Amino acid sequence: MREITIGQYYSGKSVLHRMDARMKLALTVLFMAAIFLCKSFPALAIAGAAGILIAALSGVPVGMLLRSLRPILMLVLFTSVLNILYVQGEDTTIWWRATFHIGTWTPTITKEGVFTAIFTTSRIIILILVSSILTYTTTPSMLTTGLERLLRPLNKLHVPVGIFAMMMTLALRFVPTLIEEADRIMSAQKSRGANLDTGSILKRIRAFVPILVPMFVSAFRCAAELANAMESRCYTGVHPRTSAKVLKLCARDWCAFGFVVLMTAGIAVCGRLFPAVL
Amino acid sequence: MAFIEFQDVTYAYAAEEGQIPTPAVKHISLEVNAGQFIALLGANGSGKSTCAKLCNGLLLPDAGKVLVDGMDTAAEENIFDIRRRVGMVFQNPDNQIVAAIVEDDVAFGPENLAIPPKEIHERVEESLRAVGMWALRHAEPYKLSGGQKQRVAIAGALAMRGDCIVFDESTAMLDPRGRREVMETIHTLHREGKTILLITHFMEEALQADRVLVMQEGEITADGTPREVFSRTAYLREAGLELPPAAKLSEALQTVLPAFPVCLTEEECAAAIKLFAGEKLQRAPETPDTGSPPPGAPPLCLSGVTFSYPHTKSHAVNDVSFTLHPGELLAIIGHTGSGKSTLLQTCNGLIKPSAGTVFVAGKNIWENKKSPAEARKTVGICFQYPEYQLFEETVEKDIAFGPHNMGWSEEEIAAAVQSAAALVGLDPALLNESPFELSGGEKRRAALAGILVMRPQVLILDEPVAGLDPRGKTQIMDAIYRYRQTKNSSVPPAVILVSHNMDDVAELADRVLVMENGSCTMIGSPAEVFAQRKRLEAMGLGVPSVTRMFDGVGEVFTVREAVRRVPLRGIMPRRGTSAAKPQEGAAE
Repeated sequence: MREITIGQYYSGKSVLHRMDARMKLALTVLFMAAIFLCKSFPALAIAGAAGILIAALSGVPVGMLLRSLRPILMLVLFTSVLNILYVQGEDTTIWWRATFHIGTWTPTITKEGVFTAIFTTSRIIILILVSSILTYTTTPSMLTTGLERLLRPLNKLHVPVGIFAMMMTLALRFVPTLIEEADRIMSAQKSRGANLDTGSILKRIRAFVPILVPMFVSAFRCAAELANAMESRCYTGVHPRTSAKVLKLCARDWCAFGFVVLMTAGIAVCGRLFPAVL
Repeated sequence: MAFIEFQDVTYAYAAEEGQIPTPAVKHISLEVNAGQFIALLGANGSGKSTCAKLCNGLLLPDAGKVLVDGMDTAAEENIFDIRRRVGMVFQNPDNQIVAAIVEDDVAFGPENLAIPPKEIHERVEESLRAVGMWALRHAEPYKLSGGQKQRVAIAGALAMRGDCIVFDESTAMLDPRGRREVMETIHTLHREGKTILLITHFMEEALQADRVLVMQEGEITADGTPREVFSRTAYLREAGLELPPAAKLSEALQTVLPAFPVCLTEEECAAAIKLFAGEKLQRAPETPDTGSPPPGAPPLCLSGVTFSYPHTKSHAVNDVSFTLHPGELLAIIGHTGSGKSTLLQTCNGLIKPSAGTVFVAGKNIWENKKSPAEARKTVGICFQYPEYQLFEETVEKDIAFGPHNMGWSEEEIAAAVQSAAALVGLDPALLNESPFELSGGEKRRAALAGILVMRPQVLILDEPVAGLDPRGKTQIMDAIYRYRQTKNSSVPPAVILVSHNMDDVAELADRVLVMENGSCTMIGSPAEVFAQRKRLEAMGLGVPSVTRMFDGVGEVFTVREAVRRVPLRGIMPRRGTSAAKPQEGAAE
């Protein structure tokens, strides 16, 4: 059987794995906000150090952490190049000036441009690092539960938080099932000579009709059967439910809370002491 | 008072506009007493599932009343209590598990009942232990076997601490091991006092019930003990059912040994056979050795085929070799996960083996890039539940999908579609219908026609009769028989049949290949393979029911063989044994 994983949970027993999902979610949001408060290099250094500490505590291999940065590599490179070439600023220390011109523009690299590029890049990297540590150390179903609990007050505003959480749970549950189904249908149609890999774009889109129609039929059948099964187990969507999962905040959660709050305070203080880079 | 009571219940599904709805259930009156184990039988479309859904208010009667412990299912305020007390386990193991972790799923019912978390944990543990799934409480459901998933679903119903569980064909999609697991669980629950309503197509399961009900076109036409119902042979056939294997065998033996008793269970039949055989059966008459393969080049040959899925350590298929001869029927047996499906997909190039070679009609199919497509013209695969691949507007277009892809001319296609439809016994009038309007059995046959229409020299069938009722099974088996008889080329088509039904395998196969953990562990004639009973049972596979019933008497594999050998070898009832006696003795 194939492995089908949703999200990028890395199974482990670290402090971060054992933390309350609600606290992890809330602190991740706070941490991200703190990163945006960073205006100077010392502030960024605090955030960076905190990020590295958390990464070390999580027990997630460095290789896996770096892999989570890969999707944003192009974005980071692109913004860096733009920053280096375009940011002029007040500090006009020029490090390099091209001997050619593009229209009226002469490509110039200033100290300020390089600093800005380094600054924004580090910020993005820390941001991605922190959020991927959250998903590495929390199972998708725990994330859903945590989110549901955090958003529960919205119920008072008639936002059906419970129903949204149920939809997320079901989506997580059925993605592997539907992937398997798609595999089966593709094999069956290929056996009947369906050609899915060659031809013009239009031809290929047409070629997917024999896959998509059975997939839709299958998804609807699945939904109808699932609805029966859920109703048989007294699910109504309106009656109040309890949850078997008891989330309890304990010492480690409050320690983590204190840590992130201190870090945020440090960053705020840096904002007063040092001039902003941007 | 009865626990569930149907009072003159009629129910019809909504019909399309302008059509008069035909009731799925007509004027049913029924009482299910607390603690009973009832089996509900009937052909597809006879109204069994409708009955099940009426029991817990998923459907409400158009006329009449359904009462659960005196509560009317039609009254809104009762519905919570009714559904809590009457649990349901459905057919498809995948489509009834809600959460992505086993223990979360079992907690789903109690959560809906707003039970406090501490008690939910107790209930989850109690229910998972009752079905033997506690050790796997943290598992992800999609990684479990079918039998395990169904046990999780049962635990989900148990966690609501109800009194009754309705099983709506819950064993239909399982392999024999999964069915055994579920049936054992059902017996345990019944012993503990739960009321059981089991809907099934397997007669041997119905035999284990206290009471059997048979439905025909929305009405209950038989109601009695298994012995009462299964003795009405002619009636059962008319209702679209079949006899349990022991009854089939004893009926066949009666044709040559009129004194042979009517037996229902395997134990009875085995006892009667021992009594009648007296001493051991003599050796089987030497069948002329058909050692030399039939003439003609082998249409399919696998040599050392090996494959593993990415990110897995073990091989899904490990060094499998066999040669398929023209006209031969090769059965592949092995339980779910033994690598059968992967092996089949290497045969027409859906999967490229990491080592080894696949020859189709003498050519290595991976020799150049184009050839897997060529291989698919020779090797047709009918996957499990092939009806799920239907997609066209009409049945005719769907059957024509393959030939179109292969670039046949319109006239050729039209003729081929007609003959394929005739081969599977599909009414020509249905060709212009939407495939989604057909009945379950018709869909399956339409999908099979979509493979047969390409006239594959090698027809691969992955459990072609899974989930069908007895009538549907016969129709598919007949279609396969007719296809093997077709003479559209010099050599008859060869068939690979994957099946869990050892009776069918013994009956139909020329050779049997046994798969275990990705390897081919045995290959040979059915007699050779089924003689290795111990080895097969160690793998979790079985032998034909006939073999079990002749245990200790002789090695017999099919009903036909039993009939041929028993009288000819001079087996007579022992002196002083009257015809009535074995029946009494056997019934004990």
